[in-house]
Order: sequence, then structure tokens, then C-alpha cells
Amino acid sequence: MFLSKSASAAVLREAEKARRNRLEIIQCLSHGQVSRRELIKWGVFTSGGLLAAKHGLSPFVSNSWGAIPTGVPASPLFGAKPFTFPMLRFDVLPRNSIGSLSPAPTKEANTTQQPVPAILGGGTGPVEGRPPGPIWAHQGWDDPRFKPQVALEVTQSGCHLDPAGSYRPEVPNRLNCDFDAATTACPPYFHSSFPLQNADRFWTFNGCVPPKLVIGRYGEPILFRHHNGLDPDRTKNGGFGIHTISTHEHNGHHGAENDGFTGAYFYPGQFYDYHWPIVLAGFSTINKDATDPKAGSPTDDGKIKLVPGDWHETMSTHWFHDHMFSFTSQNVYKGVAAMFNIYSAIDRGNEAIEDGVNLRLPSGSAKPWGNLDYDVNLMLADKAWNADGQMQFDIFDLDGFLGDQMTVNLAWKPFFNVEPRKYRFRILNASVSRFFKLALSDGSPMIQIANDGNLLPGPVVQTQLDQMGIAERYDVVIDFSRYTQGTKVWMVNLAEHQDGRRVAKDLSLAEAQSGNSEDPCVGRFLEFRVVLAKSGEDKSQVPSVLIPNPDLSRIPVARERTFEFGRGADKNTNDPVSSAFGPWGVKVDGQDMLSADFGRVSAAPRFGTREVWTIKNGGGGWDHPIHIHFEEGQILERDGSASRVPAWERGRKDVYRLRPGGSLKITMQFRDWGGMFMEHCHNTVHEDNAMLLRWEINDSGAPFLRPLPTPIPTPQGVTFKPPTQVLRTA
Amino acid sequence: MSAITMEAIMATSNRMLVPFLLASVLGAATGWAAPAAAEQAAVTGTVVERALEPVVFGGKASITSRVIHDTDFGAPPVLELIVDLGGVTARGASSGRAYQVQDQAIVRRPLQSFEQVEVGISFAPQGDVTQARSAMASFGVRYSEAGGLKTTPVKVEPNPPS
Repeated sequence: MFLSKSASAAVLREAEKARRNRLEIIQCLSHGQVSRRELIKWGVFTSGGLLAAKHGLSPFVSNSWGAIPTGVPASPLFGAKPFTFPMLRFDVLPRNSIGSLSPAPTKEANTTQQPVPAILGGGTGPVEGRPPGPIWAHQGWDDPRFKPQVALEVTQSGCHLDPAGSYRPEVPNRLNCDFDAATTACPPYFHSSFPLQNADRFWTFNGCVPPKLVIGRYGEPILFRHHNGLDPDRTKNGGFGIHTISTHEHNGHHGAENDGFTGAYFYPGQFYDYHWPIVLAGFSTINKDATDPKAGSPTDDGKIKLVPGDWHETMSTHWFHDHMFSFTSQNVYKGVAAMFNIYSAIDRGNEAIEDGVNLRLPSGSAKPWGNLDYDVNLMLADKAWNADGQMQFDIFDLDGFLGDQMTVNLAWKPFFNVEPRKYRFRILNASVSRFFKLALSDGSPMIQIANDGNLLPGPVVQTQLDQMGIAERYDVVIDFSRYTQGTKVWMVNLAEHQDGRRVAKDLSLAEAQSGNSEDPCVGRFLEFRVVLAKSGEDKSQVPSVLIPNPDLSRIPVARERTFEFGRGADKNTNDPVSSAFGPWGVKVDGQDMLSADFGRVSAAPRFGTREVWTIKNGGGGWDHPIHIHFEEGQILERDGSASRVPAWERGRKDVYRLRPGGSLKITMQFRDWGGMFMEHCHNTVHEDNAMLLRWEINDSGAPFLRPLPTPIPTPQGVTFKPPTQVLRTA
Repeated sequence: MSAITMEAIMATSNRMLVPFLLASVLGAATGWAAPAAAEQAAVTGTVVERALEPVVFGGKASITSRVIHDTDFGAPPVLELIVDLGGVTARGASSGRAYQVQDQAIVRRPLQSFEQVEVGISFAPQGDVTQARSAMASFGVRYSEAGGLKTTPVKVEPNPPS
């Protein structure tokens, strides 16, 4: 995304000219006036998926591989200086009663008809975009244990300025950089010196900032009603993104109808009811009577309500984001991303309660559970904007998209005031293609306590975290008591990119802070100011034992599979809706490397069984953070060796970084729920082009079929087709 | 060497020429990843950290290295180092108290004939991770086609001021 600092004026002019030409093509593509297939036919894309090296399209025609591929001009800063804008906390979504929802939620999709705008084909269509019928009915809906108790209702829409008082950080102002949410509005910009984002560029939950946070707890099922409030005219998108959405709760242990399947998207004017039962995995076979004191949920009186399931499967930090087929990268980049803290008996969100179960991690103690005072969500994402300050996205580099500006919680290089005590940070990499490697500017240690939302077996002290792939979450504890009042310390990114394929170089702390890197997102990006007086005793702890891994060793391995993620995929199906085309693909069990088709069934583990999957990188020139939906896995081996699994990866995970030329062996048990799920690269440009596959559990009882029919959404209703292909090894 | 590779080399700056040639030679010989090699490097150094007594470091660091090649895009080969400091000892100079060293670092850098590598090292009184402090561990990695990868002893020093 960036040119060399020493680029000449002529090169910059050329880059700007190329950018404008590309912009026209991007707009045509996103407006549906031209297909990617046609662009390849015309020679604008190469068959390998690269932007053709033609004058007026690529500014690097005469350069070698070392050049930055897309080369748009740097994002202007409008005179803003780093660390002058506060990083605000997430906006906590109100938890309402189920009775507040109108119409009331239903087990099967609500097919009540409503008029469809002419631009979407007219006629009528269902109010709910969930595929109709028994296969996509909410699993467990009639079981009192899973009956929704909390309603969350959000609308995806273009950004706008909400009135003061609508932002709910749920912490005192002093712990939110003195921002008074009651009297101050939150304009949709990345910094007060930057222009407001236009509604067609920036699509957020409820159309406002900061990003949203869901607070939930085990044993308290949630009904998440997601309205699509985007413009029915798909051309009102600022040139990128698409107005159909599917929301993935990453990585919820829910039935597939609530997983945000890439082909189960819904249209403007519709809603989709996602039922998140918030259960401990294994509830159908382990601790069924809910007697284990560690398997529990915090109650409003500071006690624990016991729940069924395996407490070793307790999760803490999720996020949810769009998963629209072929458009995930653009839609997530536009703002369709939020976080979800899950509280449990073990991870209570209260650091003061001593009951032998609560780990007392940094959080606060004013409320019986879910305190956010010292438990802070950080959403990291690189962005880029044009000369008018409006976000821009270049879809042409199918190796990945890199922004040139760092944001945290949608604020550009912000500051954050802290007390001299321990804080927990739940860090999410919400970038499109960028990896991070994080350290503190003075090299001080951080204590990693969780990986991908799962508390580790034990804390791991690190002075620089491992590379963090897209969608990975690292929870760390930073102790600011080591600093004197008034000290500033910065979070630093050490991972230098040259392109979206992988990190080019891990820099030392000194190199990263020198200002010499050609990658503008390297270096300091978040300033911690130790300026707040300590408001009370720090009662938090970091125990030496957190959550030991669930023991799967007694469950026989029913099946082993191999997935190789690589380049040069074949497109062997041609369904106009479910099949994608791109250079990336997945090879299953030694068969052909195939492009994504959400109508193809690539694997079908049997309900209740345990499998071992080997996931391999097909080359040394790229890295892939591979996400497997639904079940958390344990890494058994890295590059053929158990000893090569580092301490911070010895817990449970749902995103597996392959590393260049690397491989992993993991194990998972498939249980409790069924339906169609996905496995894909979370470099979302790779995912969209077309490194994604569908796997399914289709034998978990009636009314499941083998294989499941593929949903084909339209504004007038969802139809079904037989799978385009079922791999012989599925 | 293929014409494409030659063309790429011609268009590449001198700075990149050595790694590119290495990529061609090694890539042809071993595919995209050479086997990993492990070395034990001696560790020395004394660190004085605020609020703590001087801490003397010794023992061995395990450094596992491998070279990764990009045979698809022809980018320079990458050196991957896994630095395991689990065998490093740390002891208080006055109290004799043992400090727990708990760091592993994974570093990837473009392959050069010589690379100076710096990684953080944390040390804490036994079992209390909240008391952890840190220092800087540095060592050199030398590469030659004939000799492969060789590392120098690891030197532990205080963190430079930020």
C-alpha cells in the first residue's frame, strides 16, 4: 500500500494515475457491472490473480519483485500528530429482554413476506434472511437450557453521528481518557483532525463508533438480531464492499445456523436471528448434570450458577464479523467487526471475589461480574484513506491488502491513560492481511494469559509477542506499577511487511523505533500514559495455573485428514453463486488444489468423534492464518515435532498460523451441534480469492440430510440446491 | 538457472543479490524449507535492573535455525530462528537467589551472510510472573554455503533506554 519514502515525484504521479484507473475498475466490479472472470479475460488480471503489469494500471511495471505492488499515495494526515487523540473503550451493546424483540424470534426462519425494493428485483420476500425450514431451524430451541434470555438488536448501516449519551463505555470517565459519554458525541472519524467518514465508506454496527462490545456469560443464551440497514442500491458503497452480510460469531460453539455461514447471507431490509446459546463444549456428554464447581456462570449476586459441559473448554474473548462470500475482506475493513467478552465462573470479570474458582484476573470489582475498568479490548487494524480522508481499498492485489495507517479501536495512533497497576488487554488483530508482532517500547515483559479467547494452561511471560495473524486474539496482562507517575510507554509493532503475503522481517525493538522502516505501520502506535492515580488496591492476580487443556487422549481418533493451503487452484465447479475464482485454494487429502465453492462438501466428520487434521502451507513465500470454525483445537505438532509448539500455543486455538513453509497437526472433537461450517485462511483477501472450504456435520440427528443442501439467498427468499460436489474423501 | 531467475536478479539491487543467489542455489537443492539445525550457545552477562539486585546470567540458549525459500515468487530466502532461553540461568549476585527465565522468541529475517539478532529476555523470582523484569539478549548468526549457520555466544545486557 505504500511507496518508498525516497520515491520520486514522477513515481508518485504515476502511482496516483494508476490508482485512479484502478478505482474505476474497482467500482465497476463492486457495482456488479463487470465480473472478475471478465477482467481476467480482458487481461486486466493475470490468470494468477495478479494485477497485470500494464502502464496506467501498475506503477511498478519496470520494477522487480521488491517493489510494493499497489503503490497508492500515502494517506494524508491533515496536520494530525500521533498520540494526540484518545483511544476510547468499546461501546457496550444494551442487553434487553427477549420480549423487546418484535416480531418475536422463531425456531425456523420467519418467512413473513414484505415488499422488496425494485432495485432488488421487487415483489415480496421474507423478513428474515435465514434459510427457511427445519435444517436451518435453531438447534436446541425447545430445550429450556438454551432458551434465549438476552436480546441484542443491532443494525448494520452507514456511519452517522449519534447524539451524546448513546455511547456506553460502562467505565468511569477517568478510565476512558476523561471522555464524558453523557455530554459528548463520538463523530465517525479516526482523529479529530481528519474528515468525517462518509456513510458509504464506513459501515459499522448501529452506524456509530467506537466499535461494539457484547457482554455475555455462560448459561445465559443470547438472541442476536442483526438488521441489514445498508442501502439496497449496491452501488452506494464508496467503490468497495457489498450490502449483503453474514455474521460470524468467531469462534462460537453454536449450531451452524448461527455461525454466519458464508453462503447464508441476507439482504438490506431483512434481519437474521442468531441464537448464541453460550454453552461449554461437551455439554451433551460431560458434566451433564452440572455438578462441577468450575463449570459455571457468574450470577448478579456474586455467586456461581453451575452449567453442564467441560470447564476446560471455557472461552473468554470472541469477536464477530462479516463473512460474506468473496467480500469478507472489504466488509470487515469497512467496519463490520465487533468484540464479545464471555464471562464464566473461572474468568469472572471481578478481581476481588475469592471463592477458589475465580482466577481474579485484572478487571475491577464494582460489579459482581463483567467489570471493564482494568479489562480493555483493543482492536488493531491498518487502514488507508484517500486525499479526501475517505477510507479506500484496493482489491487488485490478491496477495493481500495493507493499509499504511495504524488504528486502535478505530482511532489513529491514539493515547490511553492508565493507573499504575495491572491491566488485562484483549488484543484482536482485525486487519485484512497484516500480521503484528507486539512489544512495549522499553522492552518490559507482558504476560500472555490467553490465545484466541482461550485461557492458556499457564501464563507465559514475553518481552515480544509472537507474530499475530489476522483474527487471532492475544490476551495479555501489563503491569504499569513498574513505572513512575507521568511515564509514557508505547505499544510497538515489530513486524515489517513488504506485501500482504507474509511478514518480510521481524525487527528488533531498536530497529522498529528508529523510524527507518519503509513500512509505515511499524513502530509505536499506541501510547500508554501512566497519569492516573491509583483508585484502590490492585487485588488482581495472575495465577500460575489458568485452564489446563481438555483431555482428549481417551477418545479414539476416528479419522485423519490433510489440508494443504496453496496457490494455483483449479476451479472445477461453475455455480454462479457458490463458486469463486482466485489464485488461492485448498488441497484436501492429496486431491486437486481447488478454489472455494460453498456448495462443495470437502469434509464430513462424524458427530461426536475426534479427528486429527494436518494443515500445511504449500510454500515458503507466504503465511496463512487458518481458521477452523465451531470447535477449538489443540496443536499436537509443529513441523512434525511436539517440542516445536511454543508455550503460548499450548492451549486451545481456532486460528492456526502455518508460518512460511510450515505445517501443523491438530486435534478436535466434533460434538453438541451440527450443520455446515467452514475452514479458511483469515488473510481475508486469500479467503475471498478463494482459499475457503465447507465442511459439515450432517449426522447429528433429524432433520439432517446427507449431504446438506446448499442455501442460495435472494431478496425474494432462499432456495436450496444439491451440493455442487462432495469430495470422495469427505 | 532459469531465464526468469536471471532476469529477476538483473533487476534487483546489489543489496539483494547475495540472498537471491543463495535462494537459487539452496532452493534448487532443498525445495522451500531446509531442515532445521539446532545449536547450543553459551550465555553471559550481568544486568542491573531498578528495584532488583544485579542478576548474573549463564547457561545455554538453544537456537534452532532453518532457511525458508520462496520458489513461487522468488523473494529472498528467510532465516527462521527459534530462540529458546529455557536453559539459561539467572542468579542474584548478592542473594544467590535463582530467577526464572521464561522466554522463547521466534524471529524471521531475510537471510544475510551475517545478522546481529536482538531478542528480549525476561526473568522473575521463581514462580511469580507478575514480578518479571527484562533485559536484551543479542547474538550473531553467520551463514555460509559451505558451513551453514553458526551462531555466536549470547550476550545479555540491560534494555537500552526507550
